[in-house]
Amino acid sequence: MNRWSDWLLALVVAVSIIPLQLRILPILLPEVWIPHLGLVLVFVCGLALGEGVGVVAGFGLGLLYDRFTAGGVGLNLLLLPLVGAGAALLPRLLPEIAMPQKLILLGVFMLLAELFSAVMYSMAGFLVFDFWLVWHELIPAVLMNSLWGAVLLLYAGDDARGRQEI
Amino acid sequence: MWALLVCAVALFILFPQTRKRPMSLIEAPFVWASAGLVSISDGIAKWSGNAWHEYVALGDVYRDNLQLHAEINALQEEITASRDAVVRLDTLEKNLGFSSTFPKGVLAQVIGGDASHWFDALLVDRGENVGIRSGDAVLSPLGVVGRVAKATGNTAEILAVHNRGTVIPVRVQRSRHSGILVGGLSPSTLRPLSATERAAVEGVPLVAEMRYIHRSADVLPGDVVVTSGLSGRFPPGIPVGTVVRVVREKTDAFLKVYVVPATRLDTLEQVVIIATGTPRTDAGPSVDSAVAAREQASEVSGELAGDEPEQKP
Repeated sequence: MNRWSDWLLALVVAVSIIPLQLRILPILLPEVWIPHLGLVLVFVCGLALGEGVGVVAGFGLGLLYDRFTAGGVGLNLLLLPLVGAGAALLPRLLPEIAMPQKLILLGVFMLLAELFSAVMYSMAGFLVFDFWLVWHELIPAVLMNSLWGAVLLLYAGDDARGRQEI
Repeated sequence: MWALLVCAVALFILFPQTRKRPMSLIEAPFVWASAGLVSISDGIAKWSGNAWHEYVALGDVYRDNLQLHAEINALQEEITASRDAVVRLDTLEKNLGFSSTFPKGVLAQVIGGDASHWFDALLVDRGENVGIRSGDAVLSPLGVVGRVAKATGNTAEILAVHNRGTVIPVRVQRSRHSGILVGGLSPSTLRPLSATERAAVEGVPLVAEMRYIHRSADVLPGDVVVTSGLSGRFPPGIPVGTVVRVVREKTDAFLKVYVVPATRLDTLEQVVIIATGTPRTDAGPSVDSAVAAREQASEVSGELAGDEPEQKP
């Protein structure tokens, strides 16, 4: 994030992500297929651009998502910076990490993040954690988030590796 | 000269059988050949005329066809837009009429859903500026929609009645037994489902449970559940849902009454919020819901009027 164009891009993404998720994607996709764009983006930012960007993006988008989510427990504000920081740790822990491994870890992260959300909302009394929730909400969300994350990761993969080497 | 002519006419009249005599051997070939030439020339003339009208002149027909197709497409678009405008106007009028029955009713346009997939929620374009506060009741002509979960200046997030966090005091419309409606049950808790129950819960993300009704109470599947008005937030008598199953357990003092919500969030375009707060004075007249709704209604009416064809005297 050294160039001003990167910051401009980040600003545009941050401003447009909520309208994209709330207004545009529901026109194009069935409701179940709409991903948690903030989560996906923070993971890719953390993995590709480092923990600083991951945590800042997670904090900003977490604040934004908590504003537009009915469950008012600040869950996204807690979850997204954690995901950003965790994703940034992966290249350090696994320096020779290849794209297939990144995709697997992406799926694991998405599963853990959605599981974390479900458990927290259940504990706060907003949801009932049962088989129906797992089958109709959790698994589709994990699959869709992983799919969109994989697309972003494959698109940004080489560029991100080059920047981290610099 | 005149005498010869008179003689010829007299012979023609007096001896008409001369016309029926067979052709002589000399004139027959001439007649046959001339008739053949006439029929050939007639065929050529007809063929060339048909060829011109059916092939060469088709360029005009093709252009006319294109123009007619374009006109048909434009008219179809206009018809679709008009039908949509009629439905929108009808819905708006219903919602506006419903809104005007409540002194503090604010008509709000749905502008989105929830940012997370965990909640059935709506985002609307009215907020604290018009007096909407967290916890306010949200209604539609079909029944109760839910409660306001969060409100900011110009937006409010509405949590649907069937979500876990929503609790409403309700009453069975027929027998007047009252209880508390708690959302957040998955339809899978009702399994196995009968055919009627399956039809009732089809496409419903979550069902609600009516609690604290004595086991001797008269409640049947199909009964309509309405708000009791005890909370003070919801006006009484608004439909909340329909009873889909009643369970009487021997060891339980209360019935288990499962209720399918009356409203579906995905079909809502406007909702009515019973605002309990005070509107901000600096919000300006543009945020007044009734005015805005009437402006929208007149706009739609204008669209409709513009779509109508001109009446010729």
